[in-house]
Amino acid sequence: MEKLIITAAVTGGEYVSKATTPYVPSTIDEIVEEVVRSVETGASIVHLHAKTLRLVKLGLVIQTHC
Amino acid sequence: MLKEYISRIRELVDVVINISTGGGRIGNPPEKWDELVKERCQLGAEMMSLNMGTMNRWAEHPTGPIFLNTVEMIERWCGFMAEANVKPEHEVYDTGMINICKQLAEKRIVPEPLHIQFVMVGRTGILPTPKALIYCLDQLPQSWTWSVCALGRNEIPMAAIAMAIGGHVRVGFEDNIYLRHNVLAKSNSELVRKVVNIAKELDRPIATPDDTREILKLKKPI
Repeated sequence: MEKLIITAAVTGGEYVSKATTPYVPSTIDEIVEEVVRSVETGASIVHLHAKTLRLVKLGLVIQTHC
Repeated sequence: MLKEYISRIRELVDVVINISTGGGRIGNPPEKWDELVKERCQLGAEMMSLNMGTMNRWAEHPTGPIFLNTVEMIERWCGFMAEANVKPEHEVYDTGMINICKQLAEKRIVPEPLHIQFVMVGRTGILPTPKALIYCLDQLPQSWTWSVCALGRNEIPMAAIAMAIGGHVRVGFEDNIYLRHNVLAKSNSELVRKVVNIAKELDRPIATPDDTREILKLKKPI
């Protein structure tokens, strides 16, 4: 059988934040760690977005910026 | 900023890095998007995802309800990627977008084989069902490669179907946060582990990053 390419889309994109799940990586350290763990488990492609912190009235939120 | 992510990852692990063409739009009007995409082609990523058309967003978003990617934009951006040796991952959200992929190949804007990611979001896009997937596959040229990602509880079942019939898969928090019903995954790697286990039963060996470069015919980014 043909080899299987597993892509890990680890950052949660623009729709997933810590409010959605506490386990979503949001800082660069957390995201890099999640990439490494996913690759060690079998992912060969990582689909990556960068995230930036933005302060709003209700507190600190995570905004995906690219 | 993405550059820092990429260099940090490269220091620690070998992996094919795929970034998006759609990022950075918040606060940037469409006139600036060519420039954004061009810059992204220079960051050392081997692949970039590209939505193959304009569509209604399936959830609220700061840039509004429409995700805008005209055919002209798609053609220009594929040109930028070709110049930089970056391979597009053509994200297909609806069946008509397959035709746009075919036109890119016919016009020789993107060299064949193309790599398609079927993003089966339901709601505003294609339904995550076996029947819908088979309909899509019937239209793909034999030489092209393809992968499936489905949202939420459909992620793993659709991945299993794709694996059983020779496709590739995408999993992770961008598409699904649950390991099983009512149980949050604690890491993306738990979702990767699930598909690795299924692959083992199906006798699909797991591609290494170098295998992946060979299968997708990736080039070294300029």
